[in-house]
Amino acid sequence: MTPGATPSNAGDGPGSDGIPWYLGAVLFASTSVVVGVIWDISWHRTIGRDSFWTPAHVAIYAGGLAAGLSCGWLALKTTFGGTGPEVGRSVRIWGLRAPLGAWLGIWGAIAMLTSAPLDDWWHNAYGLDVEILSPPHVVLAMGIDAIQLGALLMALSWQNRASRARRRRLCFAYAYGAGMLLLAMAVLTMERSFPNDWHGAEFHMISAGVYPVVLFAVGRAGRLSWPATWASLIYTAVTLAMMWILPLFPAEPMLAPIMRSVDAMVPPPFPLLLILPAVGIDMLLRRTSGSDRAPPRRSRDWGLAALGSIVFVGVFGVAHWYFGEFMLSEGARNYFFQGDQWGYFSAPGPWQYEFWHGGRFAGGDFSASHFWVRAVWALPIGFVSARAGLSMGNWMREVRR
Amino acid sequence: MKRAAILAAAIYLATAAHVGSKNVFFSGAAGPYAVSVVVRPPDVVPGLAEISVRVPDGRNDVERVTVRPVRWDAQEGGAPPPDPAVPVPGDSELYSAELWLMTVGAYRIEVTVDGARGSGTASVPVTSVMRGVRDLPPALEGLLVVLGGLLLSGAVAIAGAAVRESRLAANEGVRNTHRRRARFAMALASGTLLAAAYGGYAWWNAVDREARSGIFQRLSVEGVVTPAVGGPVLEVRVTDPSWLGRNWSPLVPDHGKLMHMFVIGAPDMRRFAHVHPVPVDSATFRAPWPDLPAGEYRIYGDIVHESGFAQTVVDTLFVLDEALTRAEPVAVGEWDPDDSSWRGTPVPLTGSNPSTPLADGSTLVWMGETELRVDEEVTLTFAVRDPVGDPAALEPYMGMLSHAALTRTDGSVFVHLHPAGTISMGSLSVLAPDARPPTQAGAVEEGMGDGTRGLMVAGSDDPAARVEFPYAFPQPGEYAVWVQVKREGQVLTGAFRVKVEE
Repeated sequence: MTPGATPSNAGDGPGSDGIPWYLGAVLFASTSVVVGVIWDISWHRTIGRDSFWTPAHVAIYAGGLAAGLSCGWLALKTTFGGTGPEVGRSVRIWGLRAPLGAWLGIWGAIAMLTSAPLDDWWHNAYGLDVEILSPPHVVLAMGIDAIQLGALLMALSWQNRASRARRRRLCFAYAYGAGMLLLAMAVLTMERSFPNDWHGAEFHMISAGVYPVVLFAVGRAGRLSWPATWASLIYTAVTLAMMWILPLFPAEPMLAPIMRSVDAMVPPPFPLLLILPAVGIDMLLRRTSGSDRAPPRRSRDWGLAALGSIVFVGVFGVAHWYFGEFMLSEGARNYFFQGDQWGYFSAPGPWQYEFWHGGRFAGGDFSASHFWVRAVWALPIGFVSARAGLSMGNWMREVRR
Repeated sequence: MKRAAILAAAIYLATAAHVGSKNVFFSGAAGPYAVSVVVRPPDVVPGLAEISVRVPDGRNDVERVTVRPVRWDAQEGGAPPPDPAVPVPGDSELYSAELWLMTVGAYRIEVTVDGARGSGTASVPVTSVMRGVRDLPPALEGLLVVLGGLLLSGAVAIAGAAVRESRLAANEGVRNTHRRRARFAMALASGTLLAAAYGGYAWWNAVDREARSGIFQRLSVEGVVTPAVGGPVLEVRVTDPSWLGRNWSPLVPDHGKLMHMFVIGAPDMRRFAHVHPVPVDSATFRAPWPDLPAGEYRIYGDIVHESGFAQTVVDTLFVLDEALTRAEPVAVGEWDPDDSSWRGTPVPLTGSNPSTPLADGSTLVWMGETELRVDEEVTLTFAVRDPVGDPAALEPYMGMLSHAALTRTDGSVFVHLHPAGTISMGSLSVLAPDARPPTQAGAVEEGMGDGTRGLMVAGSDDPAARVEFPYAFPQPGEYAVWVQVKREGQVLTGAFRVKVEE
């Protein structure tokens, strides 16, 4: 029995495909902000100079606005004019009612708003930041991630309430939201995830922390056959689309000094091969789950997380170790792989074709043993990440509001 | 990446000219057009520089003015396309633009004028450095505290609601167990979020510290006057570890000298010298001590690095009688003939055209504005009259018709000026090697390339005996201005005392 299924969905506005307009709006918001951020990063690597109204910025604002307005409207509607079923799909915060995902959307929009004056002041106080990770950008990223998590949870609650017959589209909506969340994670760690980083322990440690939590949560809570795989496919497809479309647009740097010739938008790097560990994680979850991907006894999740960490770190590590060698080779320097793409401010040098051994915190020891001693930390990090993902997934399976 | 870091460090270590006066004033020619350019560099880097260009011909034949930043190591291909400077409404001669300076280091701003007389470009050297870090305005701080509080409490409330009711079916009520779990989750979320907020605060502080450590610091030097065979000697030792560690690019000559040192008697402003210490080893410069008595002096040494960075090194000297009296008279041959010194009282700006006598009997007359205000662009104009009162014929003094030094009496501002403005000629020769050297003849030549006006064009009624310096005083207060010209082989110095109002 799935409470709140078909009968209570009637009259609440979902279209003929079973997806209500506000779920469409938050999924649009989720896409718009992350695509805007990738576009903006490309803008800063290519043109450099920007204004409030660059198309990339507009895409980000549009996403924030879509999330804030649709979720805000939903909260007002549910609180002051909600039907019984609508109220039954909501949670209460400070006397107001809205679905949990909508609250996250509202929170995300406020966080994005907060980051704007802080970021503006930051530029005036410390100089324009030409990096992804700065405190005001992290506030913005938290807002973006909240919007994406909100979209994911909203899709999830619809998936969890839906009858089997109506579930498929909602399952895909959920996988799509999860893909956007993966994309946001990848963007946030992009500065440490260039192919040149792939032989460094730091990259593997960061990846083991960031991705298993999402993949395991998505895999555990999804009702599709291969939810983590679908999510990583969506991440891969959107990244590839951005990577192939952006360089079609001619552009030139507008800031000095220009250290290399750039004549088209610089694309994001080739997507990470997340799809490989995602398939492994889905297989693992399928083998250890009951029908309808129901979780096994909770106590078994500890072992599953340990095994999951080994699968993720092993598959992801080996894949990127060898694929990294290809990405730095001449074979990758073409339209398909977009290898060797750098912003105008990077002075050309042999570093482009070298592994940045051990990342920036390696302390100058580039030996293989040094790599392994550090990279082995990816396993416990991956374990914690995977266990947290399973816990989240267990909770997410039951989210109905 | 590593290479970029080394480059960045090298650039950081080479930097800023003058003291307490960041704006760059330039007067020269862009091809056939006379131009006056003011560059107001940002306090933080990367940041926006404001640029204003005045084309004072009044012929109304200017079609377009563009500006472009070119960094010393990037040159032509490394500069973005020129930006148009837009005409300023209400002033037909003035154009303005903003340019991003993305890194610290030496830039030249190319100013190009297109019009009926063709096209011409002037190059204005600018040093880009971090000058400070701004504090958070209280209003913004308040807004951020409110929004931050809302976000933190909102996140805790969402965590509570997620645990309390998100898994309930539509018709299921909240039970006490749910509430208990929610309270626990909210406590956990509060702790986690507060820890995260503290982490963010610590990160912010770290960024702030790093930014403050990147604020430009001029090379530290120590000056001392010691008795020596042949007379007392002014010795300037560079004590900065970054210089001794050879993190700086070497020096290049400016007007043929590696160091222009101004020695100013403090706090009375009645003693002044312009000398040129020469290197005796990689960190020590020496010049014969000029004919000045014992006492307290401020020294300002202008140097230019190989990359085109100009900076002014500063120290305070206490010259003891003993150092001077033990000395033997200095043989004239040991002096740099371009060294000069002066003793007297700067003349206050009272009455019309205040004037001061020069050592050879001629007179230096203050011709310009006498009521001066902060940040007001002025042309400091001086005329030189021979003993009869006629315009005096001047000779070039180190490639320029005149040099001027001005300082706020408390020492917080010091600027070395030429008719071409505040720019360093040494920087210009590095950053724009094709630029024509300043002309000696008197007028700006028609059709010359990147040029600066070494000699100001004077009206036919006042040939060549007038010198002009473009400038704007950066702070209110008392200033002393020394003007140096050369006549019949003799360097002549006159001084004025100037009050600048708010």
